[in-house]
Amino acid sequence: MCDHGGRFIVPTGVLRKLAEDDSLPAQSRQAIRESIAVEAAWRGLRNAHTEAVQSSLLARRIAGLRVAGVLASVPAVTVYDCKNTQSLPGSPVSNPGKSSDITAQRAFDTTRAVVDFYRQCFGRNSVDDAGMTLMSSIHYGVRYDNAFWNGSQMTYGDGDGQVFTDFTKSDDVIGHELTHGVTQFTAGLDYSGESGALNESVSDAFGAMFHQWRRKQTVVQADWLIGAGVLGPVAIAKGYTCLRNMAQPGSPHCLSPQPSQYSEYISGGDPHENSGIPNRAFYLAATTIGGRSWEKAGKVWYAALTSTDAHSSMGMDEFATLTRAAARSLFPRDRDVYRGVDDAWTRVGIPASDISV
Amino acid sequence: MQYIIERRGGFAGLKASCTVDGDALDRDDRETLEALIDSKEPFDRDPGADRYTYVVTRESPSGRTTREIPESVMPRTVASVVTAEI
Repeated sequence: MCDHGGRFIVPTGVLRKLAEDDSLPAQSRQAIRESIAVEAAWRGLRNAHTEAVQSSLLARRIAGLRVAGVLASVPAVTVYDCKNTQSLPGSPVSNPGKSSDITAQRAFDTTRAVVDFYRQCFGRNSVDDAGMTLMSSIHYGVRYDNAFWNGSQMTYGDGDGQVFTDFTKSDDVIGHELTHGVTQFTAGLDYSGESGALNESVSDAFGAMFHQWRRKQTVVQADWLIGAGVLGPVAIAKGYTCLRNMAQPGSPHCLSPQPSQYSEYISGGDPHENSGIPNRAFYLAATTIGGRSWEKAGKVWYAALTSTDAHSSMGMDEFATLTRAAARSLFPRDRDVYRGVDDAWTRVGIPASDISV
Repeated sequence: MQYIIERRGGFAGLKASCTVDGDALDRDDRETLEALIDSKEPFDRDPGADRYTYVVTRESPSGRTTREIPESVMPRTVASVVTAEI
């Protein structure tokens, strides 16, 4: 039976049936019984937190709480070591910024840098904008080829050492995962269909911006690659340079080439496939506007993501409309911003549906 | 009996798959997998983003059954036989 450290989201009825299944080992049945109780509590807490933030119950009080010193002005950053198990969160790493484990140090330092990025560029205090502690678990699983956001924290595998290496090695990966938290607490984009593709694309866009911000790169200097730093020797030897390329989503040098035009949208596709379309739109907008991506294009995308008109089942055309509106309202005297955003969406096949927007 | 296991999702979005004979699996893991495949209710996907999902097809003389199983309930040793080919 599997390790039950991960979150169960299997219907409780199925779990109860499994827990009573005499054909399963006693140890497994006991683990399932414990998970039923734990999962219910975890899910309740997570949903309540997310819903409270999304419905602005917290937001309305944030200013007052900040003045009162109730909220952390800078979120705490913590790191846990799974020690190659799949039990979350793992053991706490004390003083991770000075750890002899380079992975712990990297997860800590980079997460703190993401905090600074969101605070300085977008005025955001942690993923929930209310100072939520940012928890990372490292060394998850054995040769685990993935990093993920589980609704409450980040999790990083070490990679298999062949196709992938340690997933903390790319700062755009860490920026990507934390942005899933931001999306969860703002637009709450569903993880399927067009909203799922937008969810993934927003994470790539802010992950790439974070990577560029740390290096003070202009849009011309940036490589617009996602996951270049986590490729292993076998992938590199085969000529791959990245997982995804926002400038050329279909490039054969990507491990996961994507469509870049709305006409190429894959019905029923994985969010990581169709995210190539809005990824290219962001790249086109940022490079047409020029300068540094986070200063104008990034602010426009952030305004769309956090707009009160954003909703969980939003399609690409709706998101494009929000960015067009944000470009006008945020930069009323700089018409090049609107033109850059409008042109970008039009070039990926999503023209403005209402010119008066 | 054999299982065709396809892995989807993950940060990389890289598909991976394998075919494994039922006899090659640990007995407990195979029983867990069977219980998951035969469960009547659909599984919710794992919370968050970039999680793996496994599409498992059981092929036996009595037919084929396919289920989508979230990473959190997939037996670890079964999941570990799936590797990405590039």
